[in-house]
Amino acid sequence: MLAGMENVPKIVRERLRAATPAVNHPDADLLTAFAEHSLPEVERDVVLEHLARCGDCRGIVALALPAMEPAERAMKPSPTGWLTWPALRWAFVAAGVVIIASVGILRYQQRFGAGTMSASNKAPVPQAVTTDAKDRPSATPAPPPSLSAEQREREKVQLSTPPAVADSLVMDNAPVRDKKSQPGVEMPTANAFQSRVGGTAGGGVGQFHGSLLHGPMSANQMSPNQWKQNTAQNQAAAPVPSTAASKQEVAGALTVRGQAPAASPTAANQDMAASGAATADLATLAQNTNTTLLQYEAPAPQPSSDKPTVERAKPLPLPAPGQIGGYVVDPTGAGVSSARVTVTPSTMGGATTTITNSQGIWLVAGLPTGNYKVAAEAPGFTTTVRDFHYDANQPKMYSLSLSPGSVSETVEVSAEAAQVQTESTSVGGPVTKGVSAQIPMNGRNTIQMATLVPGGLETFWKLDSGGRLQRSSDQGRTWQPVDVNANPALYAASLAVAAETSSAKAKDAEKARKIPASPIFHALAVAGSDVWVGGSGGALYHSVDAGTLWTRIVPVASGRALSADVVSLDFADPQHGKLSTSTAEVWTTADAGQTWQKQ
Amino acid sequence: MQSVVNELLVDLHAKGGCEKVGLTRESFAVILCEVGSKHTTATTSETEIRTFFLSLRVDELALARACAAGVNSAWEVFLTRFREKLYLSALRIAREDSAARELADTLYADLYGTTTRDGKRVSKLASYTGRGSLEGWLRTVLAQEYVNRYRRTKRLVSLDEESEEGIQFRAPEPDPVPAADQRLGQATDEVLAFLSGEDRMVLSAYYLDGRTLAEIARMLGVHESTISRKLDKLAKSLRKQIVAALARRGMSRRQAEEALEVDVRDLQLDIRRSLAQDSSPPAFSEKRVEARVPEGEG
Repeated sequence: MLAGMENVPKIVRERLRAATPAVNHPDADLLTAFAEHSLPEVERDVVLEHLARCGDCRGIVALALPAMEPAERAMKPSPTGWLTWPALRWAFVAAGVVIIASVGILRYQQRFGAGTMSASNKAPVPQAVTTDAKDRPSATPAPPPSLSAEQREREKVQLSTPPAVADSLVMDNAPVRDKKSQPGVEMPTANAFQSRVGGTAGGGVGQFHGSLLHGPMSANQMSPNQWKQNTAQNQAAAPVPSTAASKQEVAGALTVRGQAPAASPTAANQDMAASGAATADLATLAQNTNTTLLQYEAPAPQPSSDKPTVERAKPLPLPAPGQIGGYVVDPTGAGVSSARVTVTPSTMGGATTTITNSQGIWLVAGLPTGNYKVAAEAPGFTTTVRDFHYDANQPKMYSLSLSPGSVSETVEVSAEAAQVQTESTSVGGPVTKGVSAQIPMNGRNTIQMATLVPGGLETFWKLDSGGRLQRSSDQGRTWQPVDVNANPALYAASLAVAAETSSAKAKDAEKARKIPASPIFHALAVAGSDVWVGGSGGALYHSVDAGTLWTRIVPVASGRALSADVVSLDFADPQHGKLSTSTAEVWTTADAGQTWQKQ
Repeated sequence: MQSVVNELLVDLHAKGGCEKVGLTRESFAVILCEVGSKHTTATTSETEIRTFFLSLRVDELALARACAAGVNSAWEVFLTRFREKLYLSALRIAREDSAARELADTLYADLYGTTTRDGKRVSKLASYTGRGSLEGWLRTVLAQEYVNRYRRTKRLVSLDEESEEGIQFRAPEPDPVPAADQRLGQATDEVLAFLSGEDRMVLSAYYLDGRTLAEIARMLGVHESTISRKLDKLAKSLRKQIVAALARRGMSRRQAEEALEVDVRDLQLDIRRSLAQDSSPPAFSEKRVEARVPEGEG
């Protein structure tokens, strides 16, 4: 008993206990349905009343409670697991560590320069650059210009592609440059790598900029002043006009490295001049770029497959034991939301269907170990089916990749023709059995299906609880009863026609004539302005003009007339329809009810 | 009802995967009619019957009935799906391995249908009607079996145990008490009668059976805090209403308050006999009450 909770007087307990014990215990079925909250209100109250009196049954319900609610867990897989306090506590700790680490890295980079990293990666390279610069202060740095020009071209490629692409380009081609054994060329790799590090750490271009400035310095253990002196010397020796200033630090960086003498310290600091490259031998440049560019372009598409991998690597909860889940992704690796995933056991029936969430993740719970077939479908994609073995104790994520549907598949969508009829004022359309089975309908007012037809709001039809046909011409606000026998002349005529055809029919027609004036209708179908209504004793009426004139139809097949209750009517169009009866007979017509076939 | 069954038969037969477990449409129709007739009366409307049939778990119903009919493939499916779960549920109920195995084995015997009636094997699965899940039904049947068994064995207490508990020395039943106190019982009954079945069930489960708030909440499918609030509110309103009902019976407010505080054992109530109902062992507070009684008497 909880502290602080008001206690009931003891007399209450005693009287509760003394309540007359119930005699008839609910069966296991009822108790199960009660425990699963699937009983209708009335029955639930009865069971509750019994449980209030019967300690045994209360005990049974309590004992039979499931260990856990797998269904609930399946509905909301992550929030409960990850947003609870124990998990959050570790999340906070992790976040703290990340923050401290990133602050530390940033501070470290600011103090010692990002070059340390490049130095550690490609230690000898920056030194080579600087020695180059020192040893050759002349104005004729023959190989470097061409190389730097080549690299400029490469950088152009980089600049015209997204950052991720640029990164990988540089990285992927590092070996190529190695082969050329040009000491200065190594730098871009190191620096580009640096830019990547800076970029991912949130530094972006600024970071990169800094690394350019500090790279050689730290590698060479030079103070900024020394560096300035060096470059000043070099500049004096090789005064190249720094006109074509590129806005991109990258290009500038190359210039510095390839032609360190050419760049002024300030230029290196801000928008570095592409001066060296400007004076490059164009012929060599073209030659070099052609060969190298080809190599660079090859890996270009790779990032597109790389990127989603990064996205997918987001920490996601593994399904708990007993759950089966995974991703549904499109060809680019992005999650497909609202895709329908059907899990079918290969040995038995009972397919389970679920829908992926906004991240394309799906989860199904309560499946035993076994072999399964998983199908994923989404609009605009072709359906993907995968077979796999699932171990309930070792759940893992199963990915399903959807490929886009071909164009011909989308054309099918517009195959349905417009349903507007020009010859009559009423509008209608077929309401197929599939649709009628799916839409929620209150009781038997199936006729409100007319609202499903575009523009079909003019005339509403329904059957009331007494099985009478009713019509509404004001969108269901008011309803008027419809007398299908209002035009007896026509009715008689139709019977007479029926009588002429065969003697058997005549007998049936006589029988049919005896049907009460207002039959009880059970079924109704609307196809365009054609309205069909059927009911007790084989009553079947048809109107071709939205209910103004009614004709009684007596379906006859192989000498026997329809006499059983009509329980369902289905007209796909005014010509083709079928009806089923309470005796499970199915009658079909292909000519608007003129002739019928029994199945 | 027949017409509704006929109308829905095709859909339900397909939905239940009856073909896979070897149930023909005709035999399934018979099962549906049997289930329907159990549930419906002459006054049930067609819409209600239809809703009832559509709410049935036809797939599990088909499986259970196919098993009851002795279809091997159905049994294979059944065992794959429920063997492990059945044992785990039994373990949860019996809380002890050997008792759990015994419980599960007894149920298996019932499910296979060892008992014969008129030379015909009768499986317990034939009584499943698909109103709840088959798994839930199996758990309920296990719990029923356990409670029945517990009730049977509970009566068999050795004399040693009895003497250990000091039952032979217990105080004699209290003498009839003044008529004035009968009003308390009447007033309480009157107030309780106005409570809904759910309220009384919550009170009984909490105060008599010693169920936890979480258990009651899961039984009723609501949140634990809802039950906690409900109990608090009930306790307050019950006290107030009983005082009011006593006042109507001519007690002053103070007398009524006092009467509520009086130990129930002093009242003339046929409690012990009505305790024939099984419920969990009395809570600690009640033990204390019992200990105090001889003092009061002496």
